[in-house]
Amino acid sequence: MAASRFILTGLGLSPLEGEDPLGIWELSASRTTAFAATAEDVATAEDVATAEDVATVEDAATTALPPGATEQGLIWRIELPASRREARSELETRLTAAKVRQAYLETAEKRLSDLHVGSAYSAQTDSAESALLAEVMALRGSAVAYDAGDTGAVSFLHLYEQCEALVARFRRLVQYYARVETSVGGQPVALTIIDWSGDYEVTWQDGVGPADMALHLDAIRLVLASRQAWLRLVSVVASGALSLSIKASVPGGQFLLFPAVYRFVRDVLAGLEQVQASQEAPG
Amino acid sequence: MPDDLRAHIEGDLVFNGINAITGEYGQPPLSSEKLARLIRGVPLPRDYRDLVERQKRLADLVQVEDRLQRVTDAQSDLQAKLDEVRLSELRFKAQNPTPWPTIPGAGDPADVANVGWGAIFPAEMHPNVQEEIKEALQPLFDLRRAQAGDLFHIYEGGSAYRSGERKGQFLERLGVGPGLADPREMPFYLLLVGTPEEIPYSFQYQLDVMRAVGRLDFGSDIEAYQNYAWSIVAAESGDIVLQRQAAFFAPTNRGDKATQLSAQVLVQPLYENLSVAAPEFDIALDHDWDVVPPFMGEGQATHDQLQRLLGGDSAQTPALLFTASHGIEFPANHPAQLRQQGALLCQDWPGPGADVLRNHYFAAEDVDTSADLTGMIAFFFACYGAGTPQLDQFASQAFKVREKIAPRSFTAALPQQLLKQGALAVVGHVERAWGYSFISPQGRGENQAFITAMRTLMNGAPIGIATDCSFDMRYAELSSDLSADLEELKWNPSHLSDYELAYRWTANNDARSYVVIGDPAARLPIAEPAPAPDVQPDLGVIAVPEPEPAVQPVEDDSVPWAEDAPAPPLLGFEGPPGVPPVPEVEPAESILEAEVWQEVSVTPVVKAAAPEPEPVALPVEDELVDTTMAGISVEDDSVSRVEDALTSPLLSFEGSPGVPPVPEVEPAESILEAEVWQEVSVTPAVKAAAPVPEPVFQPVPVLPAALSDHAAIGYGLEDQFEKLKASLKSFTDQLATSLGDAAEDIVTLDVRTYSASDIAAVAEALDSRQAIRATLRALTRVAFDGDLQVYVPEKIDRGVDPELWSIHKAMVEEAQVSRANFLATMAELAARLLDSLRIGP
Amino acid sequence: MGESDLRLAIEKFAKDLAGKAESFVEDISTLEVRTFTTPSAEITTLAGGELDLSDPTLARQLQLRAYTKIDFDCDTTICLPVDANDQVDRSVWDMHQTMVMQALKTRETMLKSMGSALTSALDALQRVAG
Repeated sequence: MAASRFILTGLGLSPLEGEDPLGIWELSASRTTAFAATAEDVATAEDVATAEDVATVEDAATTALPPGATEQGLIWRIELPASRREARSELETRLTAAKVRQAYLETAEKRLSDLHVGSAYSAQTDSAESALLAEVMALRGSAVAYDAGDTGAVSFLHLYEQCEALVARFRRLVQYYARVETSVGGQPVALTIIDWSGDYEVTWQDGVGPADMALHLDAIRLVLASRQAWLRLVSVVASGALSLSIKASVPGGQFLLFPAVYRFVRDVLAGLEQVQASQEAPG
Repeated sequence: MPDDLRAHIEGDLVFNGINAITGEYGQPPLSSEKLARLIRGVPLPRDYRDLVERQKRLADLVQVEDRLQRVTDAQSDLQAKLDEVRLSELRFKAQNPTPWPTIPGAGDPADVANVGWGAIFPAEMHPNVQEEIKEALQPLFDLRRAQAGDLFHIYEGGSAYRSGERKGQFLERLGVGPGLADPREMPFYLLLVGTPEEIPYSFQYQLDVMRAVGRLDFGSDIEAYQNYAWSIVAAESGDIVLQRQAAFFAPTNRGDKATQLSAQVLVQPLYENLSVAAPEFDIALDHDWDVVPPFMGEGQATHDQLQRLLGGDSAQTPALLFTASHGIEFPANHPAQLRQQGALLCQDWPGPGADVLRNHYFAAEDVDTSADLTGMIAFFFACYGAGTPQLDQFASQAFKVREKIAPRSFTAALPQQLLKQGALAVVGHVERAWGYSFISPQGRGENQAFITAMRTLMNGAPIGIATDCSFDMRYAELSSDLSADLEELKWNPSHLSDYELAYRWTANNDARSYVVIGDPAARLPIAEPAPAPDVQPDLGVIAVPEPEPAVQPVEDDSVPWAEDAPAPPLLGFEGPPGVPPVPEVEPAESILEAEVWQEVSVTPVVKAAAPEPEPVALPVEDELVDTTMAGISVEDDSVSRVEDALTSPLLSFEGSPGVPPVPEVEPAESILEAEVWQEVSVTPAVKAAAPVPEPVFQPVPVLPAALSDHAAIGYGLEDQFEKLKASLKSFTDQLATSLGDAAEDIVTLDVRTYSASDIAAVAEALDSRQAIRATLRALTRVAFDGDLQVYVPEKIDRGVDPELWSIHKAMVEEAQVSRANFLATMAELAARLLDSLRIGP
Repeated sequence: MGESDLRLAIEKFAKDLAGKAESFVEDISTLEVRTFTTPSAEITTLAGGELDLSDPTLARQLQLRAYTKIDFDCDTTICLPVDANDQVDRSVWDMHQTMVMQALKTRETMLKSMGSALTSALDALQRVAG
């Protein structure tokens, strides 16, 4: 029985940023045609965007793509099993997860605003705060520890690369809207394009039945909820990094703190999800 | 008053909540000036002038200047009108003090037999669960039924509380009039059985104004309900007798103003007052009480001591316990929030800024499971001590959307645990407790409500009476006074200082939020007077006998219950003399809070949908034939009200036809009115004109000149630095472009449904921007004002596919909803990013 | 840097949105739903491209079949579709009615949502204006 797959291509997060913080989508950098999915869709080390790719981000439309092809943007592929009941259950589970993550983002934002730079921590403090503060302290210290030598240069390079890569991903998120492709039991069902003005263009496979139509509608809802959560996440990271840079007195540091704050938010979401899962565990 | 204490009082306001994660105040200390500004978020002329001025500055962009002036005037008028309506019941209570809160002919309200007893279940409770709970509470019901006779009632089924119902609607539906409680219409003592999600706190507050209300919420723990019922029965049947002992617990955490105040101004004077049996002007105690000196401060008000007081040491466990401390506050959705929020922070906590460790506060799980608390009644003065609402009640409604502070409204776990282990009732605070609730602006301690409540209870009165003649009266008086003050402020802005306004508002809010967890008719099972012992007596609680009904249930079906038959007159009393014709109104929980706005339920969708029309033939030409349909009448100024919805949170509500002269805030009858009401909680344009908040931060350079001296540059990373700049610019440029596209293209929304024989080919065509033939099956174009144009193919061989049509319709709906949500999110993202980019102060 | 562009974009966004909101409010006094049919089921389109309904060629092919107008006071004007025999075309009429219900239902949602969007836009604008 084929398993479900929920694949987002075109965002191109590198392993530096880890997986989808929503815990819903497989992230693939592949630019192959969606419905002709093959094993090559899975991101490889070569496919992963590097700092060099990012450096030419403004020319992305004409580079790093097959000749004659145009930027496909973000493609959200939902591959559902043949069992409609299972398919529906999968979609409902992930849609709920997307909404729950949005709620978790509020918690992450609150924890960011509650963060005190420099205070000691008790056993109650989550490790995500500790990790974030460690990075902040390192950045802050580096600003004055000019004598860090080669070690300092390497760490700053690393930080810049992370930051650039993350910003480039955020840019793609706001550049493209959504193209949603649904297949059930290996068979294409529908393709929907949603543009920035909110117009929908839905193309159905001839002969598709109402059950599959409903699945595609749910898939669209999942995509939109995921987008919403992603945009919210970017908001939280941007404002969180700014306020943290103020608290920590890191000059101009709000952007350098993007990767650390992004990882904090991602870890908080994962932590809350673990707590939720443990509370729901039987027995 | 000592100078140092005066300095405390005249300084910042401190609220009794400590964040368990940070060790900081859950609500940072707030100056009275700031609080007054927040309070003044509710319409006052000065702020409306600010509002109008600010909007004028933006008027060249939004072009709503003229409408705003009408809006502000209309809002002021409306606010005054609705305040008057809502406060009438509270004002009546404040201005017509009676020895007791029921109709005069009912008799002594301390006796359930005179004034009745009832239990209210929520309609949405699962029937199986309700039946189990009822069965578990049967001993309590039997007891109260035997006491109240025909004045006993269980509100369930058709008479249960319905979700979203306000008190006024509930009473009206059951044929109960306003004003003093008439037990023939509805019992005076009412026990809410359910969670605050099922029966909201707001309903409890409102109902408690004119009646004695308590709540039982043990969730699905049926055994807890049963044990509680037997506790009450044992206490009232004489099986449990406690020595008259009252104890106080008051930490004074180092450097913490709030607990210094509560100890010095509340607890100490309370102890001193209650130590005197008959002080002048206070209720005389009927019997001698052993009022134990407070466990206060260093070495005294510790976690271990509180555990002893709560059953850990039977010799120290009093019948009546009063605590004043911080309550623990957690971030919303924190794993420990539901279990530990409202826990009592003890002396063990070193003070503000220090971490809060688990052993610093006393939570439900710290109660010794073997502790027998049967018969105890406790008062907790602490933030969240009785429970937590889902939404922040503190935030001013006019300028801010309420923040979620909890995943749902819930009852605090500690009072629940005490009741599970035999306590009869706990009085505590929902949401934040305010240090200024017991101090006047002049620095006088104002703890009379606490004194009255405690003395009443110590004389054996039910807890519901004790709180009614104290906290409820205080709430009524404060609300009435505050309403008058706000009215005066409209014309005389210097009528009250910010400090005084802040005080009155906090005291009003605080007084409203005291609730009883437990049966409101519960009373202390205290011993008969005995000679004052020379030594501390051994409390020696008598064990509860085998569970046996204390009274036999009445099985005579011929006796009609109150719901079935008209109630007989009480003592020949023919009618309710002296009850003023107070219209059915909703008392303001706080006249400043727009909970009153949120109370308006939104009419279910499409109530205004026209009925099935009469068929009229369509001429072949485009000439249209008018067919007038009967519709639902809507007020003529409804257009302006819709405009108002987009520019202001408050509306000029004229009322629906047929509404009595004193308009009640009923759900609107047209979807557009309903939508307008619903707008209130979202606070559109007014938010943009809020009093300028304190800046959270100072703008800092994105890449300030100082960065050129940054270590990164020094390390030869100029190229990386430039790449980062370029990346950032690209991001902001893209965001700007997308934002522009979104705003320009929103005039119409198109939803097109095609079908194709090969979806994969469609995808490839998309990728290469090539043309492809596809069959258009349906197109809906939605104009910005909601007008629709629908295009479908003429019937051919297949006709219009109903299933396809159905999904197309669903897509249209989805598209409309998602677009608007997206616009809001994009605007928020852009604003936050702009904050990050802003250069220089 | 990007700040000025973003600032301008936010200003324009808020201005456009507010302008739309204003016209929306002015236009909300009536709700109109029109159902057209097209004789040709197959339309060539650039996938993901434009369908120009104002194109005269296409317009000639469109036939208004049903029309409903609901005034703010709920006075309603309805034109029913009839077939060649002057009988009400139930399939078209049913479809039209569902869209009328949809329009009523979603318009109240749009009112609420536009309020949210406008709030965010004006909030952003306030920060721009300082």
